[in-house]
Amino acid sequence: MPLLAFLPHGRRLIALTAGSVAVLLALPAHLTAQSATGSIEGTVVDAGSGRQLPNVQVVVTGTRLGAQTGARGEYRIGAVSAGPVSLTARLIGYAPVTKRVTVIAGQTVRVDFSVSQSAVTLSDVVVTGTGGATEEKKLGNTVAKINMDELKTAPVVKADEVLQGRVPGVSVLPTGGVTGQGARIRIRGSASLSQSTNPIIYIDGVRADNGGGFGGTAAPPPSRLNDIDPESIERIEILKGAAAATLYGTEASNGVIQIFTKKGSAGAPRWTVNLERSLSQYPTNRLQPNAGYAGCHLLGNKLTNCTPAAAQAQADSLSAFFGTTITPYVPFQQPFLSELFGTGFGNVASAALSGGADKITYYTSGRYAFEDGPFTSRPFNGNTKDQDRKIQGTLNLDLFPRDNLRFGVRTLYSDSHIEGISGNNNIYSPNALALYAKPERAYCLDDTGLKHSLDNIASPGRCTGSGNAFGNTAFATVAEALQSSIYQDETHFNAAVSTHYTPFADLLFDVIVGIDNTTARSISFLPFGNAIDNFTQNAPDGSRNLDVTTFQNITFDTKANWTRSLGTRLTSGLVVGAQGFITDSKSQGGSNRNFPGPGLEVIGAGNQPSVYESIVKVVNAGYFAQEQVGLDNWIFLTGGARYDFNSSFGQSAGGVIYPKASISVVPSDRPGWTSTLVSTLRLRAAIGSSGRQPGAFDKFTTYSPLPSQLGGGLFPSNLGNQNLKPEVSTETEVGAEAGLFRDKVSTSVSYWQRRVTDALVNKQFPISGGFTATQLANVGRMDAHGVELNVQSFLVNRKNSSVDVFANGAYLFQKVTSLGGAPPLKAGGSYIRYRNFIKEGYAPGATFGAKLVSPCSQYSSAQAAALRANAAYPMCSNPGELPYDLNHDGKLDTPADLLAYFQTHTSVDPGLLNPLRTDENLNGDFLDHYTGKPTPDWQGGFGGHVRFGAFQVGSLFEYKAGNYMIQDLTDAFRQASPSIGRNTMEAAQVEATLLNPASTPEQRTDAAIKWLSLVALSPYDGIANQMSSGDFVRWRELSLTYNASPFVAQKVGARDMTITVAARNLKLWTRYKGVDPEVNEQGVTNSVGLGNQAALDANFIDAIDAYTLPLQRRFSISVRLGF
Amino acid sequence: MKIDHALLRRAMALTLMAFAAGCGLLDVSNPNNVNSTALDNPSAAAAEVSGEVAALARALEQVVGHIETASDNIQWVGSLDGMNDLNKGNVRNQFNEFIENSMFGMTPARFMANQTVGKLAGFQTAGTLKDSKLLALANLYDAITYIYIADNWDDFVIATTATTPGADIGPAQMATLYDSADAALTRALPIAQASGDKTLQGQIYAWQARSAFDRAIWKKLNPSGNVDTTKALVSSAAAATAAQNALAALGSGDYKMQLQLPTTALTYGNCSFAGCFNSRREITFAPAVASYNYTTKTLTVALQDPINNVPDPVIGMWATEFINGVSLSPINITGSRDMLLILAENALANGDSAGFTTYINRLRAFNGLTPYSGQVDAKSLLIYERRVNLYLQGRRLTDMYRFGLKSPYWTTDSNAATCPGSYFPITITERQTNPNVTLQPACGQ
Repeated sequence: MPLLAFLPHGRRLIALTAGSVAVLLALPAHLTAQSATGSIEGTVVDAGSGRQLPNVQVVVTGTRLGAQTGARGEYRIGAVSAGPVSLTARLIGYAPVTKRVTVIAGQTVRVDFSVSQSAVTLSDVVVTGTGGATEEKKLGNTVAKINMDELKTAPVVKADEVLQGRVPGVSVLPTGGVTGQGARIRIRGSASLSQSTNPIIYIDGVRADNGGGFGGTAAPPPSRLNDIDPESIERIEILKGAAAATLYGTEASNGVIQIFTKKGSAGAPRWTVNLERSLSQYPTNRLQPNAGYAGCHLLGNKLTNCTPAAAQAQADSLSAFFGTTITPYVPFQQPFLSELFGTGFGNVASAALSGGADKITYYTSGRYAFEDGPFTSRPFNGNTKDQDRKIQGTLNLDLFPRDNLRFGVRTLYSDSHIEGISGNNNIYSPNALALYAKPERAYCLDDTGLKHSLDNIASPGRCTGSGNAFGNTAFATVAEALQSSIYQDETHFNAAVSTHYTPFADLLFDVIVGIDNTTARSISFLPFGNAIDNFTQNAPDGSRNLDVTTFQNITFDTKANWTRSLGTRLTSGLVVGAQGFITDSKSQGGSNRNFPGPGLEVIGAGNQPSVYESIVKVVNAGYFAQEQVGLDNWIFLTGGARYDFNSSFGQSAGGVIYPKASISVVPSDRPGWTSTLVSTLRLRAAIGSSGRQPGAFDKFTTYSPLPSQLGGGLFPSNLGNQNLKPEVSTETEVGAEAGLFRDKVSTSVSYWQRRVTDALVNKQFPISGGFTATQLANVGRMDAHGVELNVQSFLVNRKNSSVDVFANGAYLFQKVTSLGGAPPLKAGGSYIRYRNFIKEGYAPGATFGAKLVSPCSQYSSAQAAALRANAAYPMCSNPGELPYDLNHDGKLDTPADLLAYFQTHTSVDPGLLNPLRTDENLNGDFLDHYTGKPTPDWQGGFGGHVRFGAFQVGSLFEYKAGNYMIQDLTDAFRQASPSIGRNTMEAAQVEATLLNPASTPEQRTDAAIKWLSLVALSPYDGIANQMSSGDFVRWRELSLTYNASPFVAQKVGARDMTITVAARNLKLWTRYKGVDPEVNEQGVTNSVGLGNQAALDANFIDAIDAYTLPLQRRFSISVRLGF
Repeated sequence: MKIDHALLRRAMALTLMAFAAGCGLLDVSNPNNVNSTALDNPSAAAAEVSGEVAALARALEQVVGHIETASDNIQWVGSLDGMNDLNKGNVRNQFNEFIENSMFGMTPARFMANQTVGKLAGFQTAGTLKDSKLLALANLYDAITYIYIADNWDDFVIATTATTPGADIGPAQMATLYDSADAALTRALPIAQASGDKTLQGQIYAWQARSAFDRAIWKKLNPSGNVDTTKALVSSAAAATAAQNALAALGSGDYKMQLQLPTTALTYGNCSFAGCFNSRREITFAPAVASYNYTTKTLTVALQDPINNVPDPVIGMWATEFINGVSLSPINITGSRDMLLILAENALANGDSAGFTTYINRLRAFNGLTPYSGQVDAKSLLIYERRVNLYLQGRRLTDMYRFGLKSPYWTTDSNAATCPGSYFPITITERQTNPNVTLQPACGQ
């Protein structure tokens, strides 16, 4: 029986950990005794330029004592025990320097450092889940690091922006350009087909919410990662896969992002204040205006009563409305979406205070960030806003009862209010409606709001009252859609209590207990009377959706780390530990509509109430051990394993073991290495496993509630699989780092290979069995490999100037090797226009669709012969043939055939032309042609810094390239859809030409041929045309910083001062035809509680541009002051 | 440095305690759904029947809408090209997402119907079923489910277990589903009679009538592609007898048997019928039938009663109900009008003009229309009355097939135009997962 069985389950861990802290607090008094001390002070300078270096960490080795250098490179450490000590100076980008010094009680000893720039980072200390800080050179795998000191001048206001473009293999995938939207993060692609591929996130050792979302609404989702104040982050470490993250156990197969917040250091209080003002805008140069034309093509009135006079009458009416001369059948354009764009602004004010004394250090910060984005509903008196307001606070304390004992307390708190736009592929989204609009359908209504009126035009394209100023044909007018308001109030609290105890020099105990809690209240609201244009029938008397989601993670982590020497040449590092977490996700909410009158804004006020509640709890716990053996401090062997339990299988199901092994060899640390060309060299290899457990309830056959008119009812839900087990991701990584030219240049290369076995696949069983939802089964295998490259160089380093550059790239190959006989899975459910599939032999999320009849020369002679032999029509074309059979003779038409057809058909709707599709494999499925994959072969970033005198320019570019295809659903609709599209200039010209009775047969023939390149919607036309290469290079960041001299800074009473002018998303070069190659229909989702289809969608609805707003450009000016 | 062994021991003990406690934490409960074993409890009988009805309503909300879309009753004007394809008359496209939605709706409905009948029969046998009428209801809705499948699919699969692929029934054998329906109704009737519930008895009789009548139509339309429109009228004594029984039980009023759509998450798929119509405005009434101005909130009925020559009030009645229901418009599945139409057609098919006139005029009296007395051709009037009295109920396509009518929205190469009698196929998801169902039957099979 468990020792703590008398406590309720959920409280045992808390009680236990609270107890452990209490025990440690009650340490014997003799452990806190104090001895005689002295002080150390000095200056740190750059060896190359002689510049005094700020922000250098100078620590007394083996103690917590240390200090950070100020603006003039000076530091001072007090209360150092008398006697000989080692002192190490560390700064990112510089090789660490260690000096020995003897401290004399009651005196101050001076130690100055001269440190050299080094692009090589092997001596950096990283945290790897092993319980203690470890030098990077001892690891067999890479640990990517981002030091926030380096980003002080970068235009970064959100935590996910920190990760963009800086780490090879880490993809930051924005959803779109709505203010406050978060980005999905993927590390080395997708290591699971059915479980969340969000990397797990730890904040100061505490598992944090790694999801996001706008519960219950269709708004672009925020990311919980962005609840963290980037100013409070000291550094981020990223473990990219199973080989590195084995000891994190289950759920670590998609990588681990470890965030470490800032800590104080002993010394006088240090204030940092940052003020930023920004402007934002949407780029409009890639938006195609809405095109239309006057004619006889109104829906329901197709080709009837079509006289020149009728067409002219419509042209005259439109001329009056838009204040310009419009000619029948001559397309004209209106930039409707741009009319919803203004200039946004943002303010950020933050302050931090750090310092400490002998027994305590502290860091506390506060930040207020507000952004009112460039989307605007003001011209339409709307309620829709795009705003993001965050109030964030941090309080970190470290208590030192004595040198070998530290108690840490870390707290983060965030309070957010986001107002969004119902977004993306949503028919009630104002931006989508703006793009649906057909200007020839625009009108104003009279004072009664019932009849068209030319008298009620306020100004070109505007009505004095109700109307349909953009010419919407379905769903709602833009002005009506702008009556909606969508917002989320969210709080995020993360706290950790840690104990770090070193009973003797070689033995270390770490205990961390923490909690991460998010509560998000999401509202979608349409007020009573929102049908201001007498058009929408969506919910003219109002509607309200409410979702309250709480997400809680409790983490317990304890480790013992024993390092020792095994003779003169061998060292040993043994880690034994245990870690567990409890994830508890609760969601509840409801909706209602049809309010009895205005002013009611609660869901109880309607007459169609609906409520829901969902509860998911997952418990994961594991033991781990690792032994690391070092030989002569340049060869390191590591072996370890984690044994994990998960609540998915209940108490009796046992656990799973994840092993790991690695080797790191650093020949350049071997005595006698003298090369100056290759000044540092490391070779490494690692192998390790991690995994993913199925969902909490996936093994059960269940029925969900579904009421009928008879009362509460039950409906088949989950099919159930009692044989479920975890999927296992095994990753092998080999690589090398080299420092060249005395470490002025660093290069790093890694090759990794991953195999996911027993992969959990959402297997579809025959729906005739009654259970239509897919069922998880361990039947799949997925293989992947990749290469990651990184080059960094300090080209110039002089007193008044310096230049450093970097470039990185990551190659990714992924393949679904086996689905174990399960049929292909489609993301997006039955919505046929999302074409991402999980299919054997292809990359996960690969797209498949229809293809127009193509030249026979594309095929082998045998295949071409088979295609030509198709009974209905030849399914490949010979020269001179087009994919039409307008005369229904069973042959492909030639241009001459088209000409003959159009001589007798004087008005033809393009939708009736029926371009012919092919079925290359003759299996009856016209939609199974491979059209691309949603992930690029290569992605990465490059950039650098140039410093001249007091000025520094920083820049970052990001790119994706190679077999990267995007589904441009926006333009597919805009080109092909007769009801909400054909409003690009090209499509409008084709349609106008084909419908214009005055067009010549030759003109119609040309238009019909042009139509072949425009028709795009799936699945009944040629879908292939909607795919577009997504290759791009984006100028992500540009900053110009003025570093004021101490003299100038003192003029404003500051110790130091910088002023930065910066831009984000400044410029885009791309082959993509749509609005932005980085946007995606799917946004950030939570990691738990997703159903099978929802998980599939979250992972693989990828590279779909569906009415998504482009990324914003942001320009900012900021002032940073230190006191 | 001196080691504090006591502290070390405490830390080790705490670690072990943590994981001993952690083992107990691994058992978590699922409060969101019920496990399948719960359905073996007789106390779940009512919830199972209700689930059966909900599943059927969920299915018909799709089936009726999609079949209507393939007829000339409504016009697709929206963005979803799958619905556009249906409106063009392509009802056999196994890849069409909406036809697939219909199958995703109907397969769990079939499963729930069969399972519920089986479980409740077991409860009855064991003497643990507290309310026998539940078993009658389970059988009634089981029968309705079979009839809708037989009416609207060219072929279907009824699996014996949830995971074992079953064989398809076969196009030629789809009429056996009416046998299954009849058997269920036969089981239901004595229970209903014993309960004294007249409405329930009337419903059972009505569906006996429908089963017989729809079976007769099915025989006229199958094999597909070869419909003899000169022999379109149905003569069915069994249907007529059952219809008489139904009317007797249901009374002389305008009884309507409806499935209601509760607000809680019943609709699914990308576009529910009523939602697509009234909210998304992607469907309109066919202009030849009616139009609705959402700005002025005015319904204009274009279809004129052939005797009174006025906008048809029956269309007005159904259209108003449909519009006012917004996304939750009820689904009319049968009723007094349906029975009178069956009786009228049976009479006409048997040369009983007086009987035809009697039943048609009882029907017309519901809306105060002038009695029929030979003003127009009787068959034409029957076709007309069937259209208006069964409007938006998924019945028009069948009549178009057997009476040789064409929709103005059908393309010349569409399934409906080239292969009358075509209905929904077994769709792609079933075909990909069921090795027993590979090729789609060709027209004529």
